[in-house]
Amino acid sequence: MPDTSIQGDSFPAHVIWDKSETVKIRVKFPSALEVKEVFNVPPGGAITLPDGTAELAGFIMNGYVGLVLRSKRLEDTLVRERVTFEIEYLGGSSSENYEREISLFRPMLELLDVPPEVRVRSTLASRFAKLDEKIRIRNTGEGTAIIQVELQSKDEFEKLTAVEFDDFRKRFIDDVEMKLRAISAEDPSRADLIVKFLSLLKTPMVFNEEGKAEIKSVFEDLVNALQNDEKFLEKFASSLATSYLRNMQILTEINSFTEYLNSIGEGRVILLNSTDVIRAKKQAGVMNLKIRITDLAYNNYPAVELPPITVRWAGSGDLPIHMLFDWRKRTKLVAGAKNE
Amino acid sequence: MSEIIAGAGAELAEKGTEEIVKRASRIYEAVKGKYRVLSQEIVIHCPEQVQQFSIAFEATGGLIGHKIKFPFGKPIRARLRPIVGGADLSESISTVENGFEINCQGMQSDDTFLLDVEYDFRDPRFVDALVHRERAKELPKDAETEYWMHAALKHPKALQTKYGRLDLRDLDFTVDVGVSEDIKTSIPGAFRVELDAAFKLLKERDPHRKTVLGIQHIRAMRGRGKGRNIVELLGDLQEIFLPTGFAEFVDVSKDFHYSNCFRGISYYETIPFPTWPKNMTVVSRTDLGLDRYAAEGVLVYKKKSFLEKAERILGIRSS
Repeated sequence: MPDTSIQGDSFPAHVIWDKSETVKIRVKFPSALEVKEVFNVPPGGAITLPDGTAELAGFIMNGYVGLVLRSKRLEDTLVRERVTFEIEYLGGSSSENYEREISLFRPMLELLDVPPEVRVRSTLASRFAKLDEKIRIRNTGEGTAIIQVELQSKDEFEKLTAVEFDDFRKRFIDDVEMKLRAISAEDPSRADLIVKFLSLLKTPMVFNEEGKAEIKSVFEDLVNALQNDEKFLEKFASSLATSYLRNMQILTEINSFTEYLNSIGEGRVILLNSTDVIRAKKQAGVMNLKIRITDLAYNNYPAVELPPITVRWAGSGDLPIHMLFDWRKRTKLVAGAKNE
Repeated sequence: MSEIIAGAGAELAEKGTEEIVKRASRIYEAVKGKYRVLSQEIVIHCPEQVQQFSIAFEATGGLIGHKIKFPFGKPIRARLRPIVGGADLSESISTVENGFEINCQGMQSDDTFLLDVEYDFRDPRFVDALVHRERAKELPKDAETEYWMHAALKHPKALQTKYGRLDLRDLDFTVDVGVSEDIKTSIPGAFRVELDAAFKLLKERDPHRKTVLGIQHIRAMRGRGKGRNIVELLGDLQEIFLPTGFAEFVDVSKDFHYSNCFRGISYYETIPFPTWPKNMTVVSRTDLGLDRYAAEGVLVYKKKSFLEKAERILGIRSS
């Protein structure tokens, strides 16, 4: 059994014993865990006893049993739990106990400070506007938080993709589409997966529960297909790499690296829409933001609605989404300090 | 008391095995009709999606000189070699329209031979129905950078056939190794200032503004100190994400072995995702069969070495 897992995710375990022995196995675990599936037992061979213990017997091939356990999402961001495997030897009426421990972890976003009022101003030195005070958020948990920032108030502001990337994105996607469609013509069994992948690539990511389920399904199918077919893996990876190289310019290279750095918040935060910018329609207004969160196991976390922020906007520069936030660990932020 | 789900997909796994065994059984029967079969095994080479049937037999005399026909579909390759004795049998196999044939003329009586035949086996659902694969998606913040991998048979019985044991060879296993935080940590502030200045300079069209930005860029370059051009540095940094570059930072142990790596393909590798990966996907392999129902592996990401290399490229570390 592994010793770490993301909360809300499944993890495996197995027991191997001498094939000449007939055994009954009891798996004891805390309420934070459940047994999801058991391998190599006949129907009725795996049951849950009234005290929650899983009892396994009557193995199809003697000497092995496999299990898949799943954890719940817990209050604490890091919990250590114990699982006990009790092997009862039916021939000699003896038994042995084996204990294994697992750390269950998850991310947690903590809203430290949301300024009620901010000023955004354009400067000659930069193509982007700057903010005098930032929203302070930290990932105080243990796992990676993948977040997407949504703009709720559309009357005074709008959210767009930075123009620097638009051209590259279009050409890159056109190129990838051509190559992947050629793969799908060659191997029609991949056509459905390729169509779904291209559709995700071409449309803005919707990060609600339904959108996440679609992303999870497509990427899990993709990983399986890549794992099961070496030729497909090579062709797929090469399509992406060559499309990038064909369309890359020095400008893209430098800018993409900057954006890459901007998309990573300190303390394991990945900002999905880091290339988005906010543009003002009016010189002042109230900005309402919502943060959608997930983790590497696609778990659903409640969206964080930020308190309204009054914004005064001087000039016409766009404000990149990543500039709204300060992820750093320090406890005190000096108002007006430049964090760029 | 309630019942726990016992591994789903047994029917699919058994159906897949039946398909494999059907062809193997025909080969077995064809050989058995002429010679004494000593042993046989079936191996599924997972990445290549190939099924290999190997059959060892003894030519007990009397029937040498005949042709054995195997009209069960054209194989990818078929090979016959003596286990004992030195007969050259390289010309003894010929492929025909619906399969292959063995010309037994070169075979000597009382020798033992091994026939290996490989066919395409394009049913990835079979492996998924048969094997449960799980890996560490990430590790807690302060944990050692050791990603666990676990493969287990869901239906081992499906591997037990009348015509020999069935083994799964080189099951691919992908693990996403997170590198983005490490890259971000290794980038000094002065480098980021220079990146921004270089970007503005390249984008500017107005000659006057270009001069002003050029001065800002030079100042930023001085801030970083001596060193190579920033575009060259980014090019060098890209090299550590090539399979040959990243392979030196991973070590795979226990029941698995390293096979390959490539830039991560995940939804959070946002556009332009192939440029700078947040993860490197490492492919490891393992075997499963009736003598190994489950496999455990550890992928060690040598984070310290990776950081040192990135810092050396960026000129932060001299040796």
